[in-house]
Amino acid sequence: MDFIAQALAVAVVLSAPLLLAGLGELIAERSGVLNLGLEGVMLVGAASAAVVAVHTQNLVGAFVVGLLAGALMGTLHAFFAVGLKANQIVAGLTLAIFGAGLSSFIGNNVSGTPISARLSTIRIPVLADIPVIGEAFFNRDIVVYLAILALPAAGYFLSRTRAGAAVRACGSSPAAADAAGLPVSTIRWAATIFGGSLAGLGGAYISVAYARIWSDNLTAGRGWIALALVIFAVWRPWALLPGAIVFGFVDATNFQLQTRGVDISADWLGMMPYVVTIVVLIVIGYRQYRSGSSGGPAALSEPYSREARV
Amino acid sequence: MSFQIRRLAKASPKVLAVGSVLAVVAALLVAAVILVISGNSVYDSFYAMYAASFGSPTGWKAILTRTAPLALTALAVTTALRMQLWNIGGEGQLLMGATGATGAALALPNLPMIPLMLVMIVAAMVSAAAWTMIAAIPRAFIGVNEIVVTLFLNYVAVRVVSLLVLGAWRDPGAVGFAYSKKIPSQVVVGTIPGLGVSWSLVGVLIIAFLLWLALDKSKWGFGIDIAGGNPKLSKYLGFSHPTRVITIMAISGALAGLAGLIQLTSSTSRLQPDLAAGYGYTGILVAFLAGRRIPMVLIVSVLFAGLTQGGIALQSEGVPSAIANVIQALVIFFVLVVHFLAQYRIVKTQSDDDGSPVDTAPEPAPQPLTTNTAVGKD
Repeated sequence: MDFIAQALAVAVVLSAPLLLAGLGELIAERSGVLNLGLEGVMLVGAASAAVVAVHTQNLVGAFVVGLLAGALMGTLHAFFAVGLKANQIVAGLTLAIFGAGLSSFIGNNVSGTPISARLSTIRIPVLADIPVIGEAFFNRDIVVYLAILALPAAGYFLSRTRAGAAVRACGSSPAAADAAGLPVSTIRWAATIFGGSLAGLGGAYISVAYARIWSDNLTAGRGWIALALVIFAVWRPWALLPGAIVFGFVDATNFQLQTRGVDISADWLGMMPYVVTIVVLIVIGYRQYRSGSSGGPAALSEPYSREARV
Repeated sequence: MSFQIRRLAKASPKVLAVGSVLAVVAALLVAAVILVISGNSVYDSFYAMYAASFGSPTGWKAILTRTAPLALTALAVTTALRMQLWNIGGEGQLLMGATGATGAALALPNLPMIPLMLVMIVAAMVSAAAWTMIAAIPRAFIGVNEIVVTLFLNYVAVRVVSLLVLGAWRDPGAVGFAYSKKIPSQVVVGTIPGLGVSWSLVGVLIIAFLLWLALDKSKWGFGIDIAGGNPKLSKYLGFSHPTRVITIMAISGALAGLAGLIQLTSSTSRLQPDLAAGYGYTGILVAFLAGRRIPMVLIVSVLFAGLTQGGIALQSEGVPSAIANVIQALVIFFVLVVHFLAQYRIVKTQSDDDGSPVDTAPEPAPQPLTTNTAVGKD
């Protein structure tokens, strides 16, 4: 029981960066832009934030810098994917490689230096006393709460507001959105930069709040997991939460098992998020094949240009 | 007289060629800026990179040895792209190829060199192609996006290898290291006498030639170029689209699997989780840059192998070896810009009386490598 409560607590902490990066990517994908470079964006966010945290011990500043670094990386992706209408697969994978390399340079001087400042936890009275899940969910830091609260906010935004409808329109039928007078490119730029910002923040959380140290390749594939998470959630914000907790739990028990010297189970667990996501993709594909309706944005990763419209 | 920007029906090849060279120069300039900002000497870093790669005989040997697996993963991506399919799972397929070959080698350690090598070649190709089927079959029959599936399979493959080398194939002598027993010495590939380059490079050249014959010179390859990713056109021309998707993905996977065989037999001698060394991902960049042309794949592979080799040499100078990845990525970024600019041309026009530019009919945009990439969409 202690093991489960402990693992669950780590799972909730580890779900926060996945939620942030996943939510940002979800919004970008809903607008029609796929960013396969998420891992690189998170790494740059993590390294930049670590530099600030090591030098100033100012965690708020570190998070802001991580977010801004992510926004810059998002801008870079938007420049290629939206501005130049380049192939999004190529641009995204290149961004992943670029970001991983760049983060080595950004973090080179603080690599291995521990960050002494610690993000304080906020205990929510009564709720935190619930057995097993209380401590895990209601005695966490501010970023975890914000990441979870952002989900209903994003859900409300996408389904109940005009701006959210505009984002969805750009992702499902950019030509129709254009004809209706929506600035498709502007919306896609904004959504992509927003996605990058949240991924940068997620990366910052890993370096500054979770690991509290920077080392090369610190995010260890969590950017790819966040991409998987968006598909796992079938592009619905609220569904990110169970997915992130499950993937976070896998990550957490992995860590716990490793400390107990059980290596082999770690591999079975480690491949689980990807295997599950592949199964989800095939199920979605099968449903789509049978009914013709899609779970995802119809125009995802298709560049839109008015001149090339047929 | 006024100027006008006009969109071309086809990107100008001249602009693309000159632009690609400029892209490499621009990438080096930006890398220089990154080096300066991070407090490293540009001259020392670039000189060390050059000396350890293109600037010395030992460097060339290392580059050509690296070229072999890289060219294969790039050819794997190129093959799939001929059908508008994105196989970005080269990293995992490479690992599965090495896994199959290791399995064969450990099962039949007493076979003489040539039969064992043949068995390993077949095992590498079959196991990697079979692995690719996890993405290819759903793609062929129900249109499941192959990009994401091949990508995610990379992370599964690493875990599968890790399970094997920590379990059944574990080297009893390896304490604290995750790698398999050594493959029998008769299948460890040596170097070409006098050149110092692994024999595997010769194999790669032969494979590239055969692939060129199949894709560029045969009726079959011509049909694939024409119908490409278009199932309706395939049907109209009398081809089975699913069969072709599966065939092309199998070939693509097998090529990456052979890269794994090369890594195993001429580099590591054992199966280990880091055996793929990023070749699968770099191969995607190479294939994109080479524009689906097989001879260009070989040339760009040498260039990128050189950058990687130079980057590794920098580590001993205290500069992150990631500079190689940064330069490679920057080259692609600038090439993307070149691709965009090459679609346009500035032309002189006589201005109208009202001063408004002449309205030219928009022509269909050239879209290099941009079709059929939507997730969950055929």
